[in-house]
Amino acid sequence: MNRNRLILIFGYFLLNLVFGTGCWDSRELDELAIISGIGVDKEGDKFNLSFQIINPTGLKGGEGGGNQGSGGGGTETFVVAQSTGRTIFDAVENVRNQIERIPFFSHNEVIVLGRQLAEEGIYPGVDFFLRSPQPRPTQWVLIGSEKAGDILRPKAEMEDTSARALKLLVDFGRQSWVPAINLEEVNAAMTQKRGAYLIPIVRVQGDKGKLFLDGSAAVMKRDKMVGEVNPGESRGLKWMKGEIRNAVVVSELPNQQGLVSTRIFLNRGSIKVNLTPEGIPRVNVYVYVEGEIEDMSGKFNLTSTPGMDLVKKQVALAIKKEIQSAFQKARSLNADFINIGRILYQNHPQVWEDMEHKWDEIFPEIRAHVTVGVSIWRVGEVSKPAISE
Amino acid sequence: MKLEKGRIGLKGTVLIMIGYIYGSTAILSPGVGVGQDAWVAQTIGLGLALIVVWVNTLLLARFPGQTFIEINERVFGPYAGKFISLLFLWYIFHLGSIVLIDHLDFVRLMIIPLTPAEVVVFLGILPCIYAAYKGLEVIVRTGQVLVVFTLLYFGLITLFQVQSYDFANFKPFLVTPFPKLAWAGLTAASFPYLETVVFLMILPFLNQQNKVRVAVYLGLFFGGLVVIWSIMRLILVLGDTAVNYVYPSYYAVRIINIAELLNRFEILAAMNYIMIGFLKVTVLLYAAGLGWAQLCKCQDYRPLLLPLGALMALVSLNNFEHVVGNFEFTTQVYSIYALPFSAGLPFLVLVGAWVRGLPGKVKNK
Repeated sequence: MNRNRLILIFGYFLLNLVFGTGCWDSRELDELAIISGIGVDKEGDKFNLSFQIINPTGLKGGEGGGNQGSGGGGTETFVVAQSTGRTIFDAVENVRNQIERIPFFSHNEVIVLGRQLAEEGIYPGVDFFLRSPQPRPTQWVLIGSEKAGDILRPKAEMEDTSARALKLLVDFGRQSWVPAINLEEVNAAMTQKRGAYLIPIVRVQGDKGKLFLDGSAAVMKRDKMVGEVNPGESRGLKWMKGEIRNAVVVSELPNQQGLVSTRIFLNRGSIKVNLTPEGIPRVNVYVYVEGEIEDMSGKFNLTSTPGMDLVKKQVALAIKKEIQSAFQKARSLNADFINIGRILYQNHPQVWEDMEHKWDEIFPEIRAHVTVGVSIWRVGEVSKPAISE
Repeated sequence: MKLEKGRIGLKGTVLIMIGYIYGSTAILSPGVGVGQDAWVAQTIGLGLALIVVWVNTLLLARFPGQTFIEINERVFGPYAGKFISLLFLWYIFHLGSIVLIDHLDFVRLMIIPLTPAEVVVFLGILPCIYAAYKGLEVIVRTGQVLVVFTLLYFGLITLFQVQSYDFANFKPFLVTPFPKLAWAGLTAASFPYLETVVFLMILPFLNQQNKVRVAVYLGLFFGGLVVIWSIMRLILVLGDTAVNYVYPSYYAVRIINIAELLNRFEILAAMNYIMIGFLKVTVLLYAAGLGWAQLCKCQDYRPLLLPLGALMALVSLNNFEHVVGNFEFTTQVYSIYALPFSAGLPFLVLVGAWVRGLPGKVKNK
């Protein structure tokens, strides 16, 4: 009895091993082409997909790896394969005509969408990645300044793949300028019928091809690109959302007393939408930041409370300017990337029902009142500049 | 003649009820159609179900230690009673096949996409048959462990998702028109809460028969809390986009990413779904086997399990044309289809027993 039961149980596990993982869905590591970055371009009515595939033999060895930095004729750490197709999946299958392995998306780190695609609508370009169980919903989505394929081609100087470098750039940049957005958030943002959102734009600079991510971003409405914001404007949005973790604010002191740079490491923000008696939405933005003074040019004496107050005021002014510029841009593009419509819907659903269909006319009229609170505790090691009076 | 000699404790029963209720809602997340008010709909559903299961507890209190099939036969006699029992057995059999295909669809889509459905169903039903073969005590003991693991997993995921919670997603509160909300509530009552009607086959084996009502209400209430919290979590994490995904709760687990270190938890979720699906299918299969054996006056229910399990697997493969059909059925048809079985039949039998004055004096035969 006992032996029979053992045989039964072992038999079951054997069946599982053979049929569950062994037959149809077995994937060996050496059969996979591990993709680290994807570029999606639209050419005419066809999609052009660029895959940045990790070349395992080209990667540096472990700690003791001898031939590090051999340079020159060493094997590449990644290869870029390109294919075209009428749909994304068509292109994914077509790439197998050129690469001998099975594309594997689980370790993909960024999706770069070409500018052409962004202008025509990104949804056809991302649907496959949302639908397939392999790609991560947390991978960053970026928009290439021109062709997405060209973004993936230049080598990274310190990372093995440029997709990895790009990911780290976003990870770092999202603390200050870059309005980073991942695949799941893009999908969520696309569901907003009247809203808009930002996707960072990545460029390639110089002849050697250096990736460059400065915080300028594409303004997207549903899935189409309608304009572009500059770094200051996208940071204006991030102040309001309270997303800044490590940013520098350079503010001017009055009477040509020089510049002061403050590092902001804490940021809270809230956007409140109230209705005036006439029923017009009015936006109140409250932002609170905490920071420390990192550098100062000029003779300004910081040894007094009025001096500190002045610096705080200037910092608040600089932040306010960025926030207002974000509003300005949103109004001029008529793209509600601050998501005022959504806040209005959440807090005044009845009002929103009346306004929703004419939101495009109402939104450019909306004015914002911005309040910025600044707290600066430390001034660094220098209390009184040597050249001050 | 007793087919099942095992006796089960209160704690174990409550735990497997929680697991049973959480079962397929873990995957399918019903009610996301009403957006941020889905949790309200679930609460309404739980409230309705708490009222309706009162009938079940009354029935069990009238006939202590007797399963629904035996009660039917006492109340309606051999022919009409058997007919009602057949309806009931069809329902739990069909429900079992639906639960089976729900879970196996999930496994096929997310984990082993190229493996044929027949193989996956075959591998899935075998342990269920084995567990049901081992009897009720084994099911409950296994179930306890699995449900405790599920609750642990649940707490862990709740904790890890905290960083993506957005409480603004709950706003605006209650803007869904009432008829739509009531309909969603009714749907929720039917799936998953009233599916606990199958426990009419299991609660008679509770070792303290005076605690049957406590077991039903505790199980339903805590199971309901787990489901409502899972729906709330979904709204907190995904917001309006929950409707865009086939398996929203799985997707909500996939986006967990804490400092690039704690991520890719979805395999934990998948394991949990498989465990809990196994529990639910086993309970249903066991109830179906026991029911058929009592219906046909068999000496033993165990020989029936293999053919029943095989049939369940076959029916589950042919239930729906495609996964969309499955979702259409679950969201639009199922609640109406199930209510006559899950709420109607016990009510009918209770009325019958009341009219005939059963069990009367012959209580201690």
